[in-house]
Amino acid sequence: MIKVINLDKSFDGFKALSDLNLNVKKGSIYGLVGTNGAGKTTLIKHVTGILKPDRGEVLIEGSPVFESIPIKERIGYIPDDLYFFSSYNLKESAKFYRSIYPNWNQQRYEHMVKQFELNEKRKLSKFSKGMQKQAAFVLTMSSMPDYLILDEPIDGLDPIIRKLVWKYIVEDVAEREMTVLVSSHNLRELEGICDSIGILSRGKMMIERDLDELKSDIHKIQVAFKNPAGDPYQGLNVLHKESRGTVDLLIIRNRKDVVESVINKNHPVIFDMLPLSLEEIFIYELGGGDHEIESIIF
Amino acid sequence: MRSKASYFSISKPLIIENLRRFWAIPALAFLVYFLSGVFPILMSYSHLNDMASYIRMSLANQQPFYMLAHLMFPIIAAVVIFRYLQGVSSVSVMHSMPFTRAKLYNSSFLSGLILIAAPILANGLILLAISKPVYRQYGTETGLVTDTVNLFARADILNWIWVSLIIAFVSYAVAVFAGIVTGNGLMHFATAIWFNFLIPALYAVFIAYFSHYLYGFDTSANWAEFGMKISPFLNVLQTEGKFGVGITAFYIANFLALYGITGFLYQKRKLERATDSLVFTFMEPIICYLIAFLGMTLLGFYFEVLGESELYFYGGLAAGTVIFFIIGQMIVKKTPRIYNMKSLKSFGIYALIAVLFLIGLNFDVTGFERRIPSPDRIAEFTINEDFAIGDKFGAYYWNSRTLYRNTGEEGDFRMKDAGNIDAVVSLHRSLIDNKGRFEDLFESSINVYYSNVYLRYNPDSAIPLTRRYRVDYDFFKNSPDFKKLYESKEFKDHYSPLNLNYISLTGISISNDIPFREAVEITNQADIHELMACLDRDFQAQTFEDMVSLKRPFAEVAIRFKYTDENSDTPERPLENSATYRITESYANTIQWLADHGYKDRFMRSAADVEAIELFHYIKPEDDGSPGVYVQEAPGYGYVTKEFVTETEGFRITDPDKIQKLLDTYETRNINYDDYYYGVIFYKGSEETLPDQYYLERYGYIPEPAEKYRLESSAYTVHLYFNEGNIPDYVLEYFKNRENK
Repeated sequence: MIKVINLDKSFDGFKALSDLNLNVKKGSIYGLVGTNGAGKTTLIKHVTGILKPDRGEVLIEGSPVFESIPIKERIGYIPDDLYFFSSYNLKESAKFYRSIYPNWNQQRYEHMVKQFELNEKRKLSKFSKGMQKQAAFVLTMSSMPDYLILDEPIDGLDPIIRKLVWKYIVEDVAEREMTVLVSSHNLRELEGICDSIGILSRGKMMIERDLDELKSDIHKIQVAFKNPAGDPYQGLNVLHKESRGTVDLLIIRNRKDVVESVINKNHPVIFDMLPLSLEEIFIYELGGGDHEIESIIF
Repeated sequence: MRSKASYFSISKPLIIENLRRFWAIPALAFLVYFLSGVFPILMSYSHLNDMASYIRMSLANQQPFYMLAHLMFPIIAAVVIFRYLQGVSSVSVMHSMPFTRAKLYNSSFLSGLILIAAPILANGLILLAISKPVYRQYGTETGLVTDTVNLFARADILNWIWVSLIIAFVSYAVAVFAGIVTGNGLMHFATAIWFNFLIPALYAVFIAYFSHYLYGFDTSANWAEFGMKISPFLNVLQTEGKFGVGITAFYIANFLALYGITGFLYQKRKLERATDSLVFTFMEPIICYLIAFLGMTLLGFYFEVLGESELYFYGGLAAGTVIFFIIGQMIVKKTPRIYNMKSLKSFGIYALIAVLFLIGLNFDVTGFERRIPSPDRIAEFTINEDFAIGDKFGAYYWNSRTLYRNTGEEGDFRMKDAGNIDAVVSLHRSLIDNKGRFEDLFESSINVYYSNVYLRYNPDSAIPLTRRYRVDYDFFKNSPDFKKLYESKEFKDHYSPLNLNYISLTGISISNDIPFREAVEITNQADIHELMACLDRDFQAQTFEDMVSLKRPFAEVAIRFKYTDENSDTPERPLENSATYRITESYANTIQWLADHGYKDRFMRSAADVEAIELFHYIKPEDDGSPGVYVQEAPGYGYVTKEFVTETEGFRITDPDKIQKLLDTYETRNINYDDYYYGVIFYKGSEETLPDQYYLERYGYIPEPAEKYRLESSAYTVHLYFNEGNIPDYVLEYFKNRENK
């Protein structure tokens, strides 16, 4: 598993990460989300052993990542901004990867090259951005990493390739218990894949929860009472309330059964309970005024 | 705990990959070395002696293409190999791979070493394979002579390989250091070149300041040699491609230190600072201040040359400080927006440091100027000046090292006598005590005959104490300390003609300035040795005053001899040299010998031989051109024509008694260049001496009599001078009357 404990990092006086904790269970897919400049890439660079923490620890299977070759040999990393040796083609790059990653799987590499229809002999610098991402993915997955770290990997890929990429990832998670940490702004996509979510804001971890648990904790309800007696929502953690005529629109953070029990006590005329999407949870947790929430959620 | 071995770990795949990626660098370097070194040799292989000088120059690493390659290819290799550090994406990806920082650094460093060593070794092997004896040939009167030293020996080639590798490796290590402390490719390349010359440049700058401020600082001492030694690239220019054991060890130590320090800094490098000018914030003020310091110095000394007062110098320093500090800040901050309080504060700090530095120099806080070693700590010393030693005893400066026996390797005579040591300490003290006098004299508008006096204590010590003082002739000739030194037995024994470094004496020529008097040539060995013995007796008895007197000599004796030089390329081959001695009237034995052999009359100056002497009084024009001062423009030293003499207002003397007196007392140079009496002696019989045929052959026509003087005036005339105290009264009276009209 990946564990980050009380991580601090500053750049020239600017605190990029502050007392940050993160846990990624083995064999799970962890989605790391946050606003622009929240510190996602900085955090990822610590997990991949690029940066050294100012304070705190970054551990994989209990061992520090920084300067650890045995751990790095098991990490596959695809950054947002790709880099290949200049003038190299895919075949030459693969040769280099094979020489430094002991778990390299040549068969998988050849299979993936065919499947992604990449020209091995063409210079990588001549590939389009999307094809470069595919090439990076092929190389990384062929090294059979136990830990796959992806920083906005899906941007620029067409839907078919996207599906293929996730297929490989999910299969490796299922078959090899590969652990995945993925950062992305495509929350809809993450919602369908991730087991757990971490929401980062201004260098701090705001929420870190299993996705199901996260979704089960917060609800959007639409309710109307004929003759409400007193406060029909007493006992509930109402995060937001808006009335449109007799209909109330609320966001409540409580367990579903608790919400149902309280609301039903007052015999509502209308009672609809809808789970919030990850995107909606993100927007609500990380800010935006009421009008923004309204326009998106309601 | 991390093992020490991990600091030296390398990644073979990474090295192989670097070699594969950057093979073009050694390929190009190989071509440069090959086409500028091996190829010309192969083209002339059948007659390689013709290429002897070129081969020698190449193997001494003084061939420009070699030197360019030794510097630029290591820098280029460092820039491309470590370029991954200069990009945000590249630095992330490379450090995410299964390498430690040490492994990445070591592997990259080693890759570069291989890339730059390979072409040198390859060309070296080719040179070894094609080497064969090559000798320099030179023409002499008797025909073509071939040297005996093989210039294309395997030992020389192996030395070239070794020295080339040292230069390339040190340049590379400096360039790698530059890459670790900078954040982008342009800064890396620029600082790699700059850093390779920074220390010698700073050294030269400090020497310039010391020379400007510190009385007695000697820039001609081994400062320049020491400064050049710091960089192997520069040192090879003065050592003809050979490095001693000590200096080699120094360069290797430098290389290892740079490797270690750079490796340490790599561990500390903040990868997020890729693309910044400098990666380490502590270096920002250092680089900025260095730029400001060098720029300040540049402008300061430039303004000093333009202007006449110290104000120009300080004005230049101030202007340079401001301008180059701004430039430095822009470079290190990578932005033109540096006009803020932080920069102002930094400027204030720099300005304070600069002011303290200048004040420290101005007031000699280290006590440099007054430092004189105690006599009991002086084992030996050297003293040189151009009044006597440089002018009277050493005929050719570049042969001075081999002129006399028991001379040091650098051509200096080391004095050890306790009495002389006391005298030189006393002299040194007097030079310091007279600082005001010399400064007043040389900073005033008075222009006098002077020489530099060089003192060097314990020359073989690690840092010998050396001083240089500018001394005027009057001080020199009246100095009791100089007198003591120059009349000492130690001095006389060294500079005696019997101590000349000869294996055989070729001949002695005796001549003086009387036109058309043939020189006396002594070639008989017995006569030579006899005359040498007379010269020695007279030299030993000669007083200091007589030695340094400006009075015209009776004659000059040039002793020609053969010698061998074990430090030359041809240690076995006899070489030729000569030393000249001024024979004054005090050389009684020598003059008697000349008389006994019938030569004396040839050197006697007689009024009967002189047609006239024309005297002039030169006074330097005032800058404001004030009227009422008689000014006589000095005639060109090239020639004086009879018409010129009659047209100008010289004092023509034809009285034989007066002419004789002038002939007996005239001096050979002036002391005060701004106000002096000089003249021309016109000897009789000039027109008959050179036949018309001579003019026809030399000029293509036979000129008129007056023009004959103009064309061959040096054959007919002699220049003479009179200095204060030696000017005849009637001459003074004549010019005083004329100037007062």
